[in-house]
Amino acid sequence: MIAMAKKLVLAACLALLVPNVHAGYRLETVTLPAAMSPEVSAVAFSPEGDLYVANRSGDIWTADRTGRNWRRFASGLHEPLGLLVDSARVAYVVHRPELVRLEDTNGDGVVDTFTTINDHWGITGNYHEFAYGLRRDKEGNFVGSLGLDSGGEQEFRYVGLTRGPIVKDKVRNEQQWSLVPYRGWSFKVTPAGEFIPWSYGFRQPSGIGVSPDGEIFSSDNQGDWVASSGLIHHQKDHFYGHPSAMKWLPGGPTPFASAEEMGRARTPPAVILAHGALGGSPGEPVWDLSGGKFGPFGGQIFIGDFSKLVSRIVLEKIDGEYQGAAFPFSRDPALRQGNLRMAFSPDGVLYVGQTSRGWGTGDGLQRFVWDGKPPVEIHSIRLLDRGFALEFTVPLNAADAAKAEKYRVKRFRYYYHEKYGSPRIDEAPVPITSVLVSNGDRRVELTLKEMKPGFVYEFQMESLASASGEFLKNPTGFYTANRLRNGERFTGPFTQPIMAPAEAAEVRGVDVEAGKLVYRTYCVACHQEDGRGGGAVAAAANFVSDRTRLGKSDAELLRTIRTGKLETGMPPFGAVLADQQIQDVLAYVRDAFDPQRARGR
Amino acid sequence: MTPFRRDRPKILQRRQTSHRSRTVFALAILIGGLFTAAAGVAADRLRVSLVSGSDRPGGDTDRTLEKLKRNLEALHPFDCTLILQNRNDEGFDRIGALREADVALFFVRRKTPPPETLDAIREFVDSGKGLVAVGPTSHAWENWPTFDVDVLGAKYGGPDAEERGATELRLRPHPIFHGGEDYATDKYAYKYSELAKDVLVLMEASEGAKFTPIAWTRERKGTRIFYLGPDRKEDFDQISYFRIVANSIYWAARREIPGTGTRIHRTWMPNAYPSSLAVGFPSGLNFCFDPTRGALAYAWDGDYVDRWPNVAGKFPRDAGVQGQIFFKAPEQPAFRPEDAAPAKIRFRGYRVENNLPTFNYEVNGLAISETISPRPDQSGLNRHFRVETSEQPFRFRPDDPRRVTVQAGAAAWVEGQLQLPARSVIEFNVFLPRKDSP
Repeated sequence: MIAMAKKLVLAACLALLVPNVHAGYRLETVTLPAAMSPEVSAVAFSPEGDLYVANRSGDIWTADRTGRNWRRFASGLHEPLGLLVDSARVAYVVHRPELVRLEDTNGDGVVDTFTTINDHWGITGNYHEFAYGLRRDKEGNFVGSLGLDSGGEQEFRYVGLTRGPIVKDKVRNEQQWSLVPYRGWSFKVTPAGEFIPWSYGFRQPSGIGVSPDGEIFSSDNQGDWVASSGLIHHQKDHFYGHPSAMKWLPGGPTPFASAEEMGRARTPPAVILAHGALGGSPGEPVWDLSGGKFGPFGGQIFIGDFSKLVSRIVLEKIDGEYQGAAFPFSRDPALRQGNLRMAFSPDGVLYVGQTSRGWGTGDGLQRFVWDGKPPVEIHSIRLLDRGFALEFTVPLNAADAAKAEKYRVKRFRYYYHEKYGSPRIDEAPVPITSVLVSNGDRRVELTLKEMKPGFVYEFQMESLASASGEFLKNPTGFYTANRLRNGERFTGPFTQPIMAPAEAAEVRGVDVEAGKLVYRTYCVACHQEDGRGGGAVAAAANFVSDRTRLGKSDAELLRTIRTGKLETGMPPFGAVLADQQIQDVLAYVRDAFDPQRARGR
Repeated sequence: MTPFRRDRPKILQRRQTSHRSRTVFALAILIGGLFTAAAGVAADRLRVSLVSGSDRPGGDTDRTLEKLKRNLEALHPFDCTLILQNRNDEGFDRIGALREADVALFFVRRKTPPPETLDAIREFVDSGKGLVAVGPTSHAWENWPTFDVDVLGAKYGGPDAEERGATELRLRPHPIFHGGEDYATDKYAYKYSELAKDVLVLMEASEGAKFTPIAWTRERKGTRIFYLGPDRKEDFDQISYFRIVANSIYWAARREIPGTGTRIHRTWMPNAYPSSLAVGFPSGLNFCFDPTRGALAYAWDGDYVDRWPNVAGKFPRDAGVQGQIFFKAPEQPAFRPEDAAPAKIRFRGYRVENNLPTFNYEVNGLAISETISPRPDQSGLNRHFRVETSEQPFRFRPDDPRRVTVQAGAAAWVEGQLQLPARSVIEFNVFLPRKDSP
């Protein structure tokens, strides 16, 4: 009997973690208690190192460091999206209606006292009124942010029952809007409970972070007036581009004459997360302060995305402003959707909380554990006077690393406009004029023919290998060069392209290899590496088992790629990909997943 | 997307849990037995009748319910009486015990009891006590063929023609599932349709791409009814299923389900400011406190709110109030300063002590602590106010001055309003009767 019980305990422990092994980092799934709805909406660690997890249903559960022995710590909250745990008895939460202090006053392990610290923002009942957080700055102020309301008036059912003054005027054709105060703002709340509006012009700043030196950052999500998601550095009273939040300026909206003028007044994202390649809906930024326990990326930022992706960001200060590079960190096939909340445990494990209600499937808690082996990755990209310095986590094959053709650099930017998202504009390759390898074959300096501010520089190096012959796990990086080292910055036009379309286009035949890259960047999240679908969008076509999918004509398939397919969740790529890329990706899909057709071509 | 769907195939989950759960179950019974013995007999034990009457091949309900009786009595303050089928006359031995029962659990299939037995069953069902119906009980009475529609609120559509494979379950958040959230089954047999409007489906099982109701609650003639479809021996052997059955007995008797207590959720509530508080006491008294208005908005008699609409999709809808509203706050705020300045309200939070919530809020600087509790005799809600005035005198305007009693402090009645002098502390109670009473 005892032996059987031991076996059962062992089996239970093994069942708790379902590992998925890949080089460098192991993804594990943490089993949540059956009584807890798995829609994880906040993850935090107490100073003692215990794990706390909040969910959309309003509970907070806690477990020990191993992710076991769960118990309910609090309940009854209204969609808590931010959590700070001060001790086993005191925590702070930002949920829809307020910033609230939770206390277990009688020490029975369950919160009994909910004290409102501040509720200075409006609520109308609109589903999109998310309140995001929660962090503290160096002075001990709480930091959070408020999402805009969704568009349709039919979604406002609390007629006559809205908290805060409601202003329905639109500022400049926005789709998501700020109906009540401070929607589209970030804020601070002093320990005494005073509300300080901090910066404005956000759409869905769905995760706040405070850097080790006390600076506030958040993501913002692609949509109207937000061309591509990005990481924002929040500076007091700065305007970040979405006009609706301007309603709550003391003197009302700034009377900009044009979108172009707004573009000039706006502070751009410190780092753009290129739409598609680096997801589409990022969550909260967290800093790796594990002192090497999580591998070679100490001090860097990790940010999850709604798609099956976690990205990595390296910041630097150029001319007094933050900007930097972003990379995919993991697209582990076992990673779920909805990676909007993350936290590092004291022992350097990255916990990823997932919720995807209404937008997909995938809820729960997973974690990345470093196995102690250096991953083969681009460590960072930094700006030089006439190019970029790329650092790698391991020495490269020296002969290859010195070859310019091993690197492809191009640049692009986006419109700043009222439309939802933006295609890439002014996209063009940038010739490399010299390559310098140094630092024990771990550093490569690329000198470019020409440097321009206001562009995202995209680096591709899929054929580059380490000294031991291993290819880079993620051979892509994106550097947002708002400014150059000489202080030059982009001054416009923000609403139009600079280059004539002919200049930007590369005219050539169909390229299956280029198509493979496009597929791996834009298509893989849903259709999966093996073409079997069922990824981020459950209804994504399975090219392998469903022969009818690729049985259609090229014209038909090209149309689907360009215009999308609402019923299956296939987004339109006509505004995202160049026509050449669309042709290339179709060629790759046929080649990889439809061998019969490829042979006959 | 359904938030409470688990992301493991249910068949896998069942296989993983079944052995372990049985071991845990045996251990729990042992510990529970010791605990009960040590604690002695509580005064408020529930009387539960377990009615056995199904002799479907492979399903001996006599033995199943005997075992259930032992387990229930070991772990819960229940006195169970087995009412067994009499194989001679289709009746039941000891059917008279139903009269004494607080809750009856029926596990009966296709019987034709004598008229006096059927009358006793009808009497019980209409008595306002609790009813738990398991598996084939929907078609228990050949001489009362509309029992399914009349009482359970759903039409029995026969057994499932095909053997099902893996079954995925969907549970609606409800205290009946407390501790039983990981219940799993790989087979389910009965089909129901034409659900009555007041049926609240708590559990659904996958049927291909669709889901079909397999457990629900309903209230009829004051009787709380829980129907639980799964009924196999393997179900009764799962600790989670046992917990669901035990919880449903407490629920049907309007008792607090152990470990659940008073329920409080801040959420989208109908006819209140967005993000109001729903509070439910186990006895079936519930209310909505609106922090933005700084007031008890309304109270109802019945079950707690159904939170499913809050969490079931991208666009949350208001929680469903499950019962009859017996109090609605008047338009005018109850507290107002004597100078009739517009009320400035600040919600300060709430505290839960001994399962009773106390709300703290301010109206123009007047500090109010309001504790809302069910009366011990369950005749209604008591609002206890402790107010601290500052430099300004205040007035409290009750709905009905006869239901106000001043407990402490120098308050005076002026024109049907309670005058609260400046710089003072006053405590008073307001009674909200459950139903209209003289």
